[in-house]
Amino acid sequence: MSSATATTRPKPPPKWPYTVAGLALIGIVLVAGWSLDDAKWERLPQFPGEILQYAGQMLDGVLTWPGGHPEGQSDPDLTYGDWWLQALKLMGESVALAWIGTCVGALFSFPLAFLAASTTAPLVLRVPVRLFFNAIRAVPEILLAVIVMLPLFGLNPMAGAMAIGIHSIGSLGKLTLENIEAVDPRPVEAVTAAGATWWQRIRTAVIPQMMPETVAFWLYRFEVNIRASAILGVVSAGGIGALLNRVLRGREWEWGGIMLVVIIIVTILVDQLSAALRHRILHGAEATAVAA
Amino acid sequence: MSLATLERADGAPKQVRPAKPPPSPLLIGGVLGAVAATVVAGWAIDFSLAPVIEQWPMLTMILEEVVHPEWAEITDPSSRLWIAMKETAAIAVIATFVGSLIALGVALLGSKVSAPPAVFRVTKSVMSMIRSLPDMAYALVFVAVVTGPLPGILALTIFNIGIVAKLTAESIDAVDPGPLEALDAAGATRWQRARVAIVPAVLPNYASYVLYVFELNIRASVVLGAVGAGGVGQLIMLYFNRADYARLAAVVIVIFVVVIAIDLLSQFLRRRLV
Amino acid sequence: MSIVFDDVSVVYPNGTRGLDKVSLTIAAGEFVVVVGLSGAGKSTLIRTINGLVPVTSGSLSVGGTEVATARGRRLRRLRAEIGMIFQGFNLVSRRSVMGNVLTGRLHAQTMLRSAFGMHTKADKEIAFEALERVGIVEKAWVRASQLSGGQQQRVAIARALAQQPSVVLADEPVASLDPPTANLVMRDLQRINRDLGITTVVNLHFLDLARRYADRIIGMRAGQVVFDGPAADADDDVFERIYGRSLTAEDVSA
Ligand SMILES: Nc1ncnc2c1ncn2[C@@H]1O[C@H](COP(=O)(O)OP(=O)(O)O)[C@@H](O)[C@H]1O
Ligand SMILES: [Mg+2]
Repeated sequence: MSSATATTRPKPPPKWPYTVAGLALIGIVLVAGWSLDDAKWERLPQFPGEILQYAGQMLDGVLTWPGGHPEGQSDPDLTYGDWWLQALKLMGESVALAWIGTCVGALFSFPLAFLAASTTAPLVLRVPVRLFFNAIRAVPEILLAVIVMLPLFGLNPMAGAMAIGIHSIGSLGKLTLENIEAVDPRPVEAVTAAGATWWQRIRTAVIPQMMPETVAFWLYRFEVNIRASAILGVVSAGGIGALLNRVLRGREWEWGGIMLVVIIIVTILVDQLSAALRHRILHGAEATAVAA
Repeated sequence: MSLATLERADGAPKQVRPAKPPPSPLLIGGVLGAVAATVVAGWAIDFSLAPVIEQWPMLTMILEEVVHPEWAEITDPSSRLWIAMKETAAIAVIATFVGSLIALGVALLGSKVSAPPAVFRVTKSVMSMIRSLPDMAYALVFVAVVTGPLPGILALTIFNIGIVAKLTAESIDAVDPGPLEALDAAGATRWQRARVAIVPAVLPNYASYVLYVFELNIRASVVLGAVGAGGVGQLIMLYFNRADYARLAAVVIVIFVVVIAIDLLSQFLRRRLV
Repeated sequence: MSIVFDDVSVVYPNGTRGLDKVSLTIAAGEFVVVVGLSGAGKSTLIRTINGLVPVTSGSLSVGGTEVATARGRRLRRLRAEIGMIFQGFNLVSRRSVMGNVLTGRLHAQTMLRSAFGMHTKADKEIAFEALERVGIVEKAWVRASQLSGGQQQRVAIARALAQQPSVVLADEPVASLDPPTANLVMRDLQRINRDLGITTVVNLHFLDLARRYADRIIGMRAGQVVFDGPAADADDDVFERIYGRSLTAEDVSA
């Protein structure tokens, strides 16, 4: 407790850089808010109330006995059950187009990734293939759909599947090439030392090491693509999105609620299944014998 | 495996060679399941590549327009495109900031390290429900209240809370338990534990997730406008409905450049963080 | 196959001199152990022999083939003749033992079979025989990752044998193993050399194992050969020349 000691106590490191960074960040956010002149901020307080009210109506739709007839529909025979079935069928279409899109992405990204990884390809190939991956990733699915796929395939789920598929090549390619580069180089070297060709090296030493992680990524991408397929519905490229767009914009909350619940349930089910499969692929198989 | 077996004089009993086991039923099941799923999905969406050939002339016509983009849209900073782009950027910035801030708190409630079991279980299932709806669905509901950037911001904020909270909660799960035990031993409160040991430990990861969702938000806010939630998406729908491919091409170029620039920036920042 | 180093130097891209004017002749069928401190250039020496490290100057021939200028198919042919064993075993851990041993037969695979990853009956027979030679055939269909270190190294030896090589190179093959297992693996290598007449070059960190198994010892220091002679001649003086200090109790305990 002496006032002055021989060794000077070090000063704490300055805090002002953090303060400045924090203030700058808040400044940027405020400027961003300011620049949005037609953001009707004054409507913000109304959101909770109105959303709750809509949610209540949605819940009504969901909880009504499926045999009942909704009011105000032109077809008097229509039941809530019809809405459920229709939503299920369209959601099935969304899942199907996401699956096909993922397959297309996997099919093309897999071989390309070997031409983009530093461990398996020369620089002259790597640079253009990586550019291609990045370029594809930078174009949103909706633009791919609008400019290329809709003219080709028309207002069909095929258009959505191909838009998602091409877009997925970029992100899957990037992840796959990272998996290839993360492979343990020592077994590859051993195979090289045994006189293997480029392809033999890849088939016997690289692919066995990176395949499980890559398949897990495919499944993960499938989950992402199911969500992405919703947006494609807005431009009528297939799936549940188109009807959801129409119904919610028409403020058919009961109908919309049923659709949202179907989306939630199917998505969660697919996610759980996919997560279980991914876990199994990455960890579970460790203990079982495999064929050569 | 003894060395005795190495000397393999003729006539000496040979070690039996095991038969090759059949491939694991799980592998077979997995492959067959994937094939079946693909066949069913292909049938469900009427998979056919024939239109590529039939409609090729149509596509080339469009691409001809696309390769002559409306440069004025790009070069004129007061064009509709740039105004919409600024709106998109502002939506992404605000949604990332607000969403990430809330997500940090939610993440603390969503990990068994920092929250009591009942709380983290409830938080986790609510979060997974929130994540199961695409950002699009939120935007569609919110535009019913009001159109413009506000519903876009709200939709993305919720989307961000879902992702950042999940990833951060997983990081919290993986926090080194040593310092936490030390704090518990010193009689720290839940809040003190979080502030002293958990938040500092996950901060670099958290920051990297925030940058990641910012990237996603730029892409997503481009798209959300398609349902009237502000930003470039609204323009995309306008030009699409008018079949104005020259202007659409201009939109593609700008989005392309902005997205790649932000990717590079965030990659650079993330590399410095971790 | 004999191995002839003539004034060979290796300079790594970062400027490190891995080998400094090394001249050596290893006769066909010899069992040579290379010793030296870590960083002395043992690995570099061994890896130039199958072209994993390119020679910067000088000439190196294996069985009459010049290694430095060999490329593509000719280099692969040469590598097929040379089996290699590594400190870390370098197995593809997710594949079965058999799958790993069969990589020793890749050089004999036709294009078409290699495209589908198929092996002939004859190749499988060779792989089984190699496994039998190291006494681990009952593990043929087990995942490589499930074996102990000693077992993995035997699989690696079987992989090298499956190449039906004329030369075997082993880069610190026992450094990751406990002493009893290390002796077993060394004995395997010695026996293979004697039974099959395969020229064998082994890197070892410690002198005493070298003395026990080698016909001939090559001592290295800073990229140069500082001792070359029969194992019996490698006395304490030589030890000091190689390791730069005198022998201590620790060095002989293994
Ligand atoms: N790939 C490489 N790049 C640069 N320097 C290397 C490389 N491999 C080895 N060296 C250097 O060459 C020298 C000899 O290394 P090495 O042959 O591995 O020795 P040892 O196997 O005897 O431990 C060391 O100084 C080492 O740092
Ligand atoms: Mg070495």
